[in-house]
Amino acid sequence: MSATPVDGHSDEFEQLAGLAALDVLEGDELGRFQRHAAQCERCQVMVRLDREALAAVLLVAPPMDPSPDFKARLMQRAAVELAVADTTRRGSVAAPPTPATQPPGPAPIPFRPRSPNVIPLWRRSPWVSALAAILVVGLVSFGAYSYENQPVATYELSGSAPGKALVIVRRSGMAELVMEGVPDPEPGFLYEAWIIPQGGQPVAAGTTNRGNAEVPLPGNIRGTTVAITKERTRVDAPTSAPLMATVVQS
Amino acid sequence: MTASPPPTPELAQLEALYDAHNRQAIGLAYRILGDLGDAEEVVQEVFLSAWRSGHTYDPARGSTHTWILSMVRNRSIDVLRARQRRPTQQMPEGIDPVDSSDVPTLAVSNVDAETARVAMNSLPPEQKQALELAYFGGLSHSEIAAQLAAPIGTVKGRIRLGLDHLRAAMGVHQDLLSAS
Repeated sequence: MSATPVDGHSDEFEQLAGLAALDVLEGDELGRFQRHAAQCERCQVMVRLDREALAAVLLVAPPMDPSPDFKARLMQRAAVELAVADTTRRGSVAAPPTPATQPPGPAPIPFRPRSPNVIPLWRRSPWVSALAAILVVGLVSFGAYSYENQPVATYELSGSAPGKALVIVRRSGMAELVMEGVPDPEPGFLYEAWIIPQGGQPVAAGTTNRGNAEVPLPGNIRGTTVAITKERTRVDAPTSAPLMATVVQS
Repeated sequence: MTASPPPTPELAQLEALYDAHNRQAIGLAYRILGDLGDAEEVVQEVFLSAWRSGHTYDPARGSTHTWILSMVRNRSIDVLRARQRRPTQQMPEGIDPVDSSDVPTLAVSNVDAETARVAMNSLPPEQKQALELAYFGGLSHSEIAAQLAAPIGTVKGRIRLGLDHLRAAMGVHQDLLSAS
């Protein structure tokens, strides 16, 4: 059985269905398709099936390694969330139930144990405790991050473009391309960074549409050539000669 | 040698989720954003979000992998559009947007990465390019037309044909659309 199109259905609506599946429909066409699709079973089915096919396109991007410390940062953040949640939970525990039977006579004065003279600030409330934990974790993380983030090598790119471009390699092994004073690309163009392994093909490393920019370079770039080209759009292989390039020592 | 203490059950769940999906998630976010820092920010939020709501996700409804990747794609496109200051488009009534709640039912259960790549690469280059600019670039058809210096109608046609080819190549059942 096939989905029935409504009266007035046309090829144009099927084109709009594709754009709707991609979530890129906009303006007047969005409203027009919205009104049509509300009545048109065929367009609804088409959007659903297009999205089903597009879900598989999610798998097309090549897998890639994150920064070396990414997992640790993620787990640390989750651990802090758990600690805060746990502290909050414990802080909201109800008081123990009172005995079912009360002794006769005047109500006793509630007994309150004497508080110690000095309570550490971080123990005064669950919130302060949680904030203290976050602060400690933050300070430790910041210290480790600062050390790992120290630049250990800098390489200047040379080439035909005016301005300056540097590759900065940090202690952690992470690296970035920093561009300063390079003219912005003309409208419709962008700069694309490339990592070229010895004897290998260029690997796209990021794009920018500004002449003053920082582009993180993925993976280990030691022993590679880093280059910049000007492209019309982000591409998987350079379409023009490098404007600037440098070799990063092993 | 001193063994490190095992993570709590909650953190072990996150670690398992991360170990299974992180490279594909980072690859996808980087493919869309072209910036490793932004990609990691998006992927971190997605893993934490999935981990927090994991107990509400029913794996029987579809692939966790697709679920995670769909969230990565949606959030990456949001970041991309925020860079361009373009609001997220509202979807037509009666057609649910692709988000974490309905992705599992959309998942193509028998398609692996290699099949998907082969299917994409089987498209005529101009159709593949238009689809990629829309799907990974979050560009509207008019923006794609401007970028490719092609008429808007041509771009619409390429996207429609590309999706038709893709559905066929992915093995998405077509019988509901076979006759009209």
